[in-house]
Amino acid sequence: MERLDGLLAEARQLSEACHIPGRDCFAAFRDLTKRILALTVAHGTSASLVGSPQRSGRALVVSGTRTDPYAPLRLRSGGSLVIFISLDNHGDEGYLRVIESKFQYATGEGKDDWVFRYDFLRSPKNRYPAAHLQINGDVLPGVPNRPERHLPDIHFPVGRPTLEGVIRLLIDQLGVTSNEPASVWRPVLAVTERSFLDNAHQPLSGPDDYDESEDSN
Amino acid sequence: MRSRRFWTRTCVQVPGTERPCILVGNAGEAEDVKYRILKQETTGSDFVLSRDEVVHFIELKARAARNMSGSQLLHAFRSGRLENAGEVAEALIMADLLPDDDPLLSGGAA
Repeated sequence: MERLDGLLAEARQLSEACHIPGRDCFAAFRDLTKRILALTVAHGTSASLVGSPQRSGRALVVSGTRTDPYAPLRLRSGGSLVIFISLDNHGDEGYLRVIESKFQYATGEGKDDWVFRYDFLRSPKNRYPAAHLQINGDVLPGVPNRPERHLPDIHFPVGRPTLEGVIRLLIDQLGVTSNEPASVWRPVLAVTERSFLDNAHQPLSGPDDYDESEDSN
Repeated sequence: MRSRRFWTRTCVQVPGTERPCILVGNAGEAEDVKYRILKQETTGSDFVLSRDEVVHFIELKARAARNMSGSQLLHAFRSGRLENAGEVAEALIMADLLPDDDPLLSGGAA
C-alpha cells in the first residue's frame, strides 16, 4: 500500500508538471510516459525525448532510439507498440499540447503485421476525423452488402486517444503481459489519464469546412 | 547544472565573439539567452537531431513506404492528397521538428 501511495503521488506530480508552462513540461511528459510503460507493458527502453535546435518549443516523444527513431517498443509478451508523439508549448500561455500522435500495435515484424492504429492530428488536412482508429481486419464474409472500402482504410472516429487507453486494451483484451499487477497499474493509469483528459482538446469527428472536390480518395 | 531527469550539453556561440563555449544545463537555457547553438548532446536515451538528420529520417520513411521523396510526401499531406496518412505518420510527425519556413516543407530541395 505504501508503495502504491508513492507511485500515485509520483503520477500526480508528473501529471501536474506536464501542465505547468515552460520547458520542463516536455521532460515531465517523457518521464510520465516512461513511468506508465514501465509499470505495464514495456520490455527494456521505452521512450525518448527528441529535440531539434532549429525548432524551439517543439519536441517528440518516441519509442525508438537515435539510430532508429521509428523503432517500436518491444512488449513483454511479444509484439510491439509504436509510440510517436509530437509536442509543443506554443499554445495558450505556453501550456503543453499534443500536436500529433500515433499508437500502433503489431504482432510481427512485417509491414502489414499491424493490428490497430490510433492517430490524432490537431490540424487534419483531409476529411477524416482528427482522432481516429484503424483496424487491420476484414468484415466477415457472410455479412450482406459489405462495404466496398476495405476495413483497414476506414477511419473510425474516436475521442482523444490516450496511451493509457491503448495499454488497457493490450493488457485486458489482447493478452499482453503487464510488469506490475492490476492492483498497481490500474490506479496509476486512472490518475494520469484523468489528468490528461481534463486538459485535453477534444476534436470534432470531422472537419467543418472540407472541400469534397479536392478529395482524391 | 545537472538535473536528475534531463540535462543537455550545448556548444554555443555568444553573439559578438568567435570562440565557442560549452553550456551544461537544462535544454532551454541556450535558447532563452539567444545563443547560436552549434551542437547539443543530451543524457540518457534522449537525443537531439540536426536538420540533416530529421530530413534523412523523413526521406527514409517516404521512400520505404511510398517510394516518393520526403518533400513529395509532406506536400501531398499538406494539400490533403495523402492516402492512409497514418501509415507514414512517423515521417509527418518528424517534420514537426523543422521550422515552418524550411525548404522541405515549402516543396524545395532536401
